[in-house]
Amino acid sequence: MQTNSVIVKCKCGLHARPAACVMKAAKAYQSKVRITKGDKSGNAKSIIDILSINVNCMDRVDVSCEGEDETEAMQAVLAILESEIE
Amino acid sequence: MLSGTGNCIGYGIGRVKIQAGQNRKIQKTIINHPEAELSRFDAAYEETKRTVEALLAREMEDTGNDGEKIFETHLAFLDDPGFVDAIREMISSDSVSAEWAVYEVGERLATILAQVDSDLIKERSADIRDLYATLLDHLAGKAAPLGAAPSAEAEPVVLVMEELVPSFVIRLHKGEVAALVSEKGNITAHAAILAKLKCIPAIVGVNGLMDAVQEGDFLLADTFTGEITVNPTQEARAAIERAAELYEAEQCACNAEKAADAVTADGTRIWIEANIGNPAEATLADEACADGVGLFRSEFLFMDRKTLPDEEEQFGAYRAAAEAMGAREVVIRTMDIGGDKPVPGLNLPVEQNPFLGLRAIRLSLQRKDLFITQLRAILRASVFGNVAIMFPMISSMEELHAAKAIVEEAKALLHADGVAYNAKIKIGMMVEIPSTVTLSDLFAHEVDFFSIGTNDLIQYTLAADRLNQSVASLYTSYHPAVLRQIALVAQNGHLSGIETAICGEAASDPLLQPLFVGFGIDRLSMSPGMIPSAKRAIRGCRDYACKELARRVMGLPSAEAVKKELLAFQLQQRA
Repeated sequence: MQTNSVIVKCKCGLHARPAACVMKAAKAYQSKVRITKGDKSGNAKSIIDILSINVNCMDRVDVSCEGEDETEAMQAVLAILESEIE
Repeated sequence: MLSGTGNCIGYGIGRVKIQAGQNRKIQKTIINHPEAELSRFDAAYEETKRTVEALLAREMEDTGNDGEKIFETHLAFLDDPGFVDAIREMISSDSVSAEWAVYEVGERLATILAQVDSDLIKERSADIRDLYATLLDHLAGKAAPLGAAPSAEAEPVVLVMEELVPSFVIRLHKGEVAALVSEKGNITAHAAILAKLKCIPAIVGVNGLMDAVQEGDFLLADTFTGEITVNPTQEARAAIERAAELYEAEQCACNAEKAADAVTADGTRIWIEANIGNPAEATLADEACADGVGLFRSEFLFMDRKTLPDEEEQFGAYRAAAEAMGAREVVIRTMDIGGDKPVPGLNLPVEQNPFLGLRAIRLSLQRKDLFITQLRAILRASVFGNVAIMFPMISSMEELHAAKAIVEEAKALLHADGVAYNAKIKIGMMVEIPSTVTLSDLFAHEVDFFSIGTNDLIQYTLAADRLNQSVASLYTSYHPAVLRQIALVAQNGHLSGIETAICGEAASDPLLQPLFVGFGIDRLSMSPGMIPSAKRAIRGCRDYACKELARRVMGLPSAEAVKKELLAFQLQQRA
């Protein structure tokens, strides 16, 4: 399993559109992908999970990936979280 | 009286039609063949997906390719395993009907989102409800045909519903319904935004609506006040009908002539400009045929975020606004932070009296690093259009001198870096504190223009906090003390040969506009949507009549007397 801690740069946080992008990216891989902020954690392959974590711009979140393609999955998800997508 | 929040798109008059399918009762039903139920669900799911894709295509057509697409989110929800898999799981393990599983899972997820501490995310629960309602329609085999609008009615109808949902509004076109009224929701919900884009009158968040109205009731909806009248008296109905007619005629006339200049019948030109908060709104200003941007509230670039915008980001925003307006002037007000506009990125201490505290220019002078960054960004943008700088909240000559000195410093820094800027950039100041009004003859020698911020001038003159509901009745732009100050500033400006603008809410008040013309105000700046009607109002004025009005108003003792005089003048103008 891989874990990583990042600052989310998406301009308005993970609201509907960026959350949908994260979900799309995570679903392209077999690995299990989770996003955690404080005591809240969710499946990155579920937009509803991501929205309920309520991630704002500049929040720190932990990402964990577990599976055969975990390295690629991690890269793909981090790329979105660290982009300035609106 | 029933009331909610209206979208300020005229009036709705018609018979109530309760939009069905909103308050559906789903029964928990145990079924014998989960496999059959699953394939029934899968079929409905595929149908729903096709429907949503078609609605997304229609949305692209209606609103262009920019920005977030509402039905994109619907599609993402539909692809969410937390939604679909949970429904399938419930059908197979609990042996319940597909309807019940869809309803249960949908409601559960909608409730989760409604509890998230973010308005942007809360509103998405309406999207989930919309989506599962479409699924239920397909399960029942009675989904509305793709893209079909509700059947045309002989008589205008006001559609009344529990909650306004996007997939419903997207099917409507202007003119098909008289108005939309819903019990739940707020004006920032997707559905309400769509209604506004489509110019459909709508009122949302009307408490007690579903209990108070019945199918066939006659209903008046005033989207300006948010008020709803059920089965009105003849007089009430006639009054709204008259208002609606006037509004329609006015809108048509204003839009038809929005490109024409605002020149009074006897030849005085008034510049009608736009107040904006970001470059995208400059495009709206341009569409409304604004004569310029009289107020770019730069602080909106600093709010609702945890970090501060750097020089590059600010430069990009100012440049975009300058380019959108071409040769027309764009007045950028340096950050007016503090007061009712807190900025998370600055970590400012909470103050007992924020409106009398460290805000606007006071903060800029104390945080010179931030001020220089902003001034450099504005100066760099000044070569891409017609840009001017304006300082907010000047209360003393020392502040103005200090601020101007820092502008020179920023220019010197850019010069040293070899970066281009307009060395002759105009510098103006807000007049919004009574001390500045009193000294306006002296300030007029020091700046290139005045802009009166009526919102703050009123609260500082009348000692009435504009955010405090319990003194709201004291806060009025018709107070003679406020109006006399505006007249004095305009007069002192003219004596020194500089122009005076008004950029507060009062600038768009049709009652006050003739008075401002009479005072000799040169520019009025307001939200883009108000511009076409303001231009038309000015064209209907006569300079000498406005000056006469100003003379009469200057002698009046109270806000009430002023308002009466202004109303009488308006009636006389229309006659």
